[in-house]
Parts: sequence; structure tokens; C-alpha cells
Amino acid sequence: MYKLLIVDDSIIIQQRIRNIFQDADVNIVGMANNGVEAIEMFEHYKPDIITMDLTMPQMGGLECIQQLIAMDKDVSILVVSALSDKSTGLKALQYGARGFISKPFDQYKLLYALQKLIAAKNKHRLAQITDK
Amino acid sequence: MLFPILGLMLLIAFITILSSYANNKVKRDLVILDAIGHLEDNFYDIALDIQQLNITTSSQSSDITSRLTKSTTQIDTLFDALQSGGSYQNSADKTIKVNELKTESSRSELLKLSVIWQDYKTQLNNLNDPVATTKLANFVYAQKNSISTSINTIAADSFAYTYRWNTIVRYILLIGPLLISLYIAGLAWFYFNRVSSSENQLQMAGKRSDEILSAVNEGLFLIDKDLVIADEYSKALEGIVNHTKLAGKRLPDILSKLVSPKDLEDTKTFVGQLFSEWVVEDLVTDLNPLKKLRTQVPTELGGYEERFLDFRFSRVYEEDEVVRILVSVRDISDAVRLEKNLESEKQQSDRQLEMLSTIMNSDPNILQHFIDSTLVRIDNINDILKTPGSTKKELMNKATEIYRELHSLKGESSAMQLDSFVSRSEDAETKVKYLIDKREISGNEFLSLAIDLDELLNLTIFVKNLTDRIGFIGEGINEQVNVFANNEKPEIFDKKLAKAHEQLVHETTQTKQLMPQSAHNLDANLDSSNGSMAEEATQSLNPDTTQNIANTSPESADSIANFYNQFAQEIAKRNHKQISFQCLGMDNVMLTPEQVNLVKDISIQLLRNSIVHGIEAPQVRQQKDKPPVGRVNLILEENLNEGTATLSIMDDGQGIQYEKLRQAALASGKYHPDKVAKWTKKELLRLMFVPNLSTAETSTEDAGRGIGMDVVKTLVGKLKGKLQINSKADEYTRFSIIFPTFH
Repeated sequence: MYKLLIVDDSIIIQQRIRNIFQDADVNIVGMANNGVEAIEMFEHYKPDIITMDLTMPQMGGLECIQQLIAMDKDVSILVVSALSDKSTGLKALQYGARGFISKPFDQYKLLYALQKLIAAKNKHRLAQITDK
Repeated sequence: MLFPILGLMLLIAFITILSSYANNKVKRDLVILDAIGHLEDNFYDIALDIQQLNITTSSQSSDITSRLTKSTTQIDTLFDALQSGGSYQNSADKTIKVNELKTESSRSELLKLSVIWQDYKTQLNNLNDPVATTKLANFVYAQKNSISTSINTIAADSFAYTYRWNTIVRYILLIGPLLISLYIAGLAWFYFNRVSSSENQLQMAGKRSDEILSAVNEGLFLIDKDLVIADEYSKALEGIVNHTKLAGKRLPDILSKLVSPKDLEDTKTFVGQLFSEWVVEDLVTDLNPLKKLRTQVPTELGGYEERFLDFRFSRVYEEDEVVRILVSVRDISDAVRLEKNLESEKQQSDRQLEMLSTIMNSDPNILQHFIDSTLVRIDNINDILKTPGSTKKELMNKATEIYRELHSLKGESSAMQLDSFVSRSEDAETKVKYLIDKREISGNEFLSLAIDLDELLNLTIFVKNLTDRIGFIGEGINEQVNVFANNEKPEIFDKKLAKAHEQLVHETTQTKQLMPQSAHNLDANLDSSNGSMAEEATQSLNPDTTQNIANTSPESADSIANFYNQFAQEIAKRNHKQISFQCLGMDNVMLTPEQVNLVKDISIQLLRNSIVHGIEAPQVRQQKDKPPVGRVNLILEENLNEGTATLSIMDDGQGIQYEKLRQAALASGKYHPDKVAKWTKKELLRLMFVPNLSTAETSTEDAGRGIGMDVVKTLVGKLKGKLQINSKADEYTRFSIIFPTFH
């Protein structure tokens, strides 16, 4: 089972994502309130999938994505953020995020995204194994 | 491909084997022919040698004898070989293998020959005297023909056999290559057919996809990593993006006319990310910058038309690698428009719901009053519209009167917080204002007002029905109204009915004041008051209702004060002012319904004026060392001895702004600047009552139309009253209207 980290400065959103993923095929290892916490938790738990807000205090999502990808280029980051400006979302993709879900989201959209990420992750792992 | 080649090889092998077999046969028979030739030669040699032996000396005979011995051996060998297979030495001493003779005729001839040969050989072995030799020579001579015949027969037989096989070989050599050629030709034909049919299929497939591309009403095209559009794209695309000959062009060049530079940049990034395997295709659709793209497209008439285009991007893979992106574009303008219509319908129903909640929260009496007075106003406006008038002045007067009614309606509905009424009456007001400002009115231009009027009437009926349905009105004094509002479309424009209604209200009010407890008197009063309508109305007025009328009185007084307070606070809130409002004596003075309405209209106008123009903003008041909350009083008192009443509205605001009035006069351009400069305060005050001259900076729901005081002046005129204005700068303003209460 893949490990998942939730990064969002809103506790309400954190809880909502956690509730949606409660019965999903994923192990939620932590919830971070900002980029700095996210990086600490990442070092500790080594999650495979991260849901990432973009606008957060201390360290925003864009910078956090850059640092996380620098630490582990295989980590799957799903941006979950209010979409005020599409170019910010696109920037996140350029920095290494794998997908984008705009707030407000419904549970089906989020579960679908998780399913897609897990499938992409499995495929990626399989490719790595066969390459070896 | 493998089987045809295998077949060809097998065919060649078969032909080769067949021909070599036939060849062998031919060769073998040729050897037999040789052997027979050899046999004949030996016979011939023996015959020759015997003749020589017959005539030669014995000194030479040993040579001949040895030759005879050799020939004899040879013939024996050859007989053996031809009879049962074997080998012999030819003249070049080479050992030749020979097969036995096969045909029956050859074998019998060979047998005949061997019988002769046995004789021959016996005599040869006894050649010890010349007699024997001569005898043999004779014998040889005698047998020459039969030997030759036999050998010829055998040879001919063999030859026929050889010839047959030779012919077979010839045929094989002829037919073999022919067969091979035919086979190859067949193969070639087969493959050619197959290729051409697959080529046909390919062509058909191409044609079909062309058909799809030309018939589909979506824009479909492929782009590569450099955003270059592929040669094949759907015909509809050109129309949708308003661009022709798109093959080989870059997508950004096509889009540059349709989207903002920022969206264009985003599009490039977005497509770039789609080519990156890392990004999950389904999880980036929210970032598509061309989703529901709003754009302006030039029309044939030279103008621009708003259109909504929806671009969708999907990856095209080739061996697990994204090689192209399939882009589909749809014109979704109709769908978006439909969505907007639904949205506006929803908003409308929201508004109705909002209205419902306003109604639920309103004081029933005030609400009833509002409904009544709105119906009267709409009736008035209708009357004004019906009044004939064709001169410019008449039309202008009509417009101004309608404007006043609409303005009052707007004021009242804003006090009631009935936003739908406010916006509708404001729309109509703006229209009329436009006509007035234009100063060129034709009768037709009032036509569009009928629609607004109808809408306002519908709204009123809607509110009326709602209140009826909710059921908290329909008791007490308000019951009377139902008489003429029960019909779906009340005959509000029927003057007679309205008059009867007015009369009824009037009478009831009087009755209430004078004989509160007497139901009988009330009935009598009503009976005597007016015609048939009053009678009808009476039927709904049972004795219980009379009781209600009496009970309603104090509640009603309270409601009127509440109504003004609600209204005043609402205006203050909208204009960011703070006020404490006091309303006194509004129900203490006995007035006719007409007077009640006029007093109410004047109060509304002047209250609005005081709050908007008089009371300063809280900060400003604090700077002036005044409490931030302004005071506004509305007082009605009866001057009993004089038979008059005084309505006064007072505020502790900034006082009359004479300089602002002067500036407004200058700005209007209607007056000579020199004269304006010399005007006294009294002369400036007169400006307040000039229509279309406003001192407010911007036009709002509450101020800025330059009509308020104009209306007040007219209303005061209708009350037959006098208007007094007292004011002190930064301290107060008071408007007092003194009017006769006699009716």
C-alpha cells in the first residue's frame, strides 16, 4: 500500500481529504500545514504520494514541490488548490507535480485522481523493474 | 511467403529428378546401343580375320589367332553382359557397365545370335587346318545376314526404347521450365492481387477518414511537439477558428487572434506538459487554458460576436511514447448561452424567494399599505399614459409626472427592501429620465414603459398573492382590499372600483376614529356612503371584522413608526451613515387617506434628503466634534386651534449647502454665471425645487436624480400646504410643512 501525505494549511481541507481517502487503498502517514512541515514529514515518512496545496504560509507549494522533487524525483505530487491563475498550476507541473485538482473538489474527483496516480505509480515501478 | 517458395523449390527438385531419371534411362540404352555396336564390330572383326587367315601364310597367323581370341572373349563378355547385365572393355580399354536387355524381341534375337555364336565358337576352337578355316569362312559368310539381322533388330529395338525416353526427356525439359514459369507467374499474380487489394483497402480507409474529417462538426487536428498542425484536420476547424489552410501552421499563430498573450503562453506550457510522460493526462484537465474559451469573432456584417470555444487535448501514443496530441475544438456558445439563461432564471427564482422572505419578515400592515399604494401608483401612471397629449410641453409634463410616481415607488420599495421592485422601477425611471433629458419626446416613446408597468403590476400581484397565500393578511382592515384584489388581474385600472375602495378606506378610518365599538353604525355608514361597490365590500365586513379594526389601531401606529424607522435605517446603511431616528405623532392626527398618502410621500422624500444630504459620514461628524450617530426626527403634530397640522423633518447634519447649490446652478449651464454669483441664500434655496438639478456627485438609489425636492414641492401643493426651511451650517436643517387638516 502506498503512503500518502496531505499538505494543506486548512485543517478543514486536511480532514476532508483524509475522510475521503479513509477507505481508499492508501496509507495516510501524515498531514502537514505548510511546506516546511511537509519536507520534515517527507524525510521522516518517505511517502509515495503527496496532495499539495499551493498557497500556504512559511513555504508555499511551488517551492515545496521543487525541494521534494530534488530529494526524490519519483514522488507523485497531486496539487489540490484553488484555481485563481492557471499559470501557477502549470508552473507546479513544470516543477514536477503529476496532476492538478482544483478546489472546490468533490470526493469522486479526488478518489479518481488517487486511482490514476496509483496506476501511474505502478506502471512506473514496473518499468523500473523491467529496465533493471 | 515461405510456402510459395518451398513449393517452387519442390517443383524444381521434382523436375530435376524426373529429367535425370529419364536421362539415365537414355544413357543406359545408349550404352546398350554401344555394346551392340561393339558386338557387331567384333563379329565383323572375326569374319575379317578368318578371311585373312584363309588367304595368309602361317607366319602371320599367330597375330590373327591372338586377335581372334581377343574378339572371342569380347563377344562372350558382351553376350553375358547383354543377357544378364555386366561390364565389358571398349576399344579404348575402358570398362563400360551394361544392363541386360529388357524387351522380349531383343532377348529372343540375342538368343538366336548366341546359338549361331556357339556354332561359331566351336568351329573357331578347331581351326587347326585350312579346311576348317575355309569351312568357317563359308559358315561366317552364310551366317552374315542372320547375324546382321539379329543385331539390327536388337539395335533398332534399343534405339526405339532410347528414342522414347529421349522424347520424354525433351518433354520434361520443355514442360518443366514452363511449369516453373507458370508457377512463378501464378505467384506473381496472386501477390500482385493481394498488394493491390490491400492498397485499395488503404485507399478506402483514407477516403473514409477524409469523409469523417469533412463531415464531423467538431474541429479535430493533431499537433506535434513543435505545436505544428498535421496535414489532416477536420473541415469544421477552419470555420471554428476562423482561419484557413491550417496544415503545417503552428497552433500559437492560429490562437494569437483568439486568446490573450497570457493564455497563449499557458497553452504552450500546458501542451508541453502533456508531452511529458510524468504528468497524468486525466489529472490536468483543470489547467487547460482553452477550456470554455471566451472569444470575439468577426461577423460577416463587420461587427464582433461573442463565442465560446472548448478545446480538449488528448495524447496520441506510439509504442508507449506520446508522439502527438489530438486536439478537438467545439463551439459551445449555444450551450453556454443556455447555461446563462438557466442561471438567470435561477437568479430570478432566487429573487422571488428573497422577496418571499422579505414579505415574511415585513409588518403585514405596512406590506398591505405598500401593495395598495403601489397599485394606486401604477393606476396613476396608466392614467397619465392614457391622457391625450401631443404637444412637446404636454408630453414633457406627462414624463415628469410618471417620473415622480416611479421615483416614489422606488423609494417605497427600497424601504420595504423589495429589491425586485427597486430594480424594476429604477429601470423604468431611467428610461423616463432619458426621455426628459433628451427633451425630444414623441408619444411612441412611452410605449416601452407599458412593459415595465406590466412587470411592476405582475410583481405587485405576485406579492399580493404570496401574502394572501401565507395568510397573515386578510384580517382586520385589510380584508377590504381583497374585494378588489381577489381576481387574478385586479381591475385596478377601473377608476370606479378604485374610487369605491378609497372611499371605503376613508369611511372605515372615520368610523374607527369616531365609533370604534359600533358594528351597526359602521354598517350603516358604509351603506350610505357609496354605490354598489361599497355594498360588495360590506359583505366581507362582518361584525368580527369591526372588532379587529379597533384592535388594529395601536398596532398600526406602531407599525407606521417601524416602517419609517426601517426605511431610514436602510438608507443610512446604504449611504454609510449612522443615525438614530425618532418618529412622533404620525397616527395622532386625523387625516384623509389622500392626506395620509401625501404625508407619507413627503416624509419619504425628505427623510431620504436628510440622511443622504444632511447627515455627515461618522468620521466627518467626529472631526466636527459631533457624535458620530446623527439624529433625524419625523414629527406630525396638529395645531388644533388653527385647523392645521405641521409635518417636520429635522436632522442635525451639515445644514443647507448653499455653495453646492450655487455650483450646481453654474454646472447646469441654465443660468448666467454673473447672476448666479450674486444670488442670495433665499434665491439659492429656490434652486432646490428646480427639477433636474442635483447636488449629489453620483446618482444612486437614494439621491442624485435631481428630482426629490421637485416632488416635495408638488406634493406640498396637493396638500395645499406651505413649506418652511430652517437651517444652520453644521448644526441642523428643518423642513416644516404646514397644511390644513380640514377635509
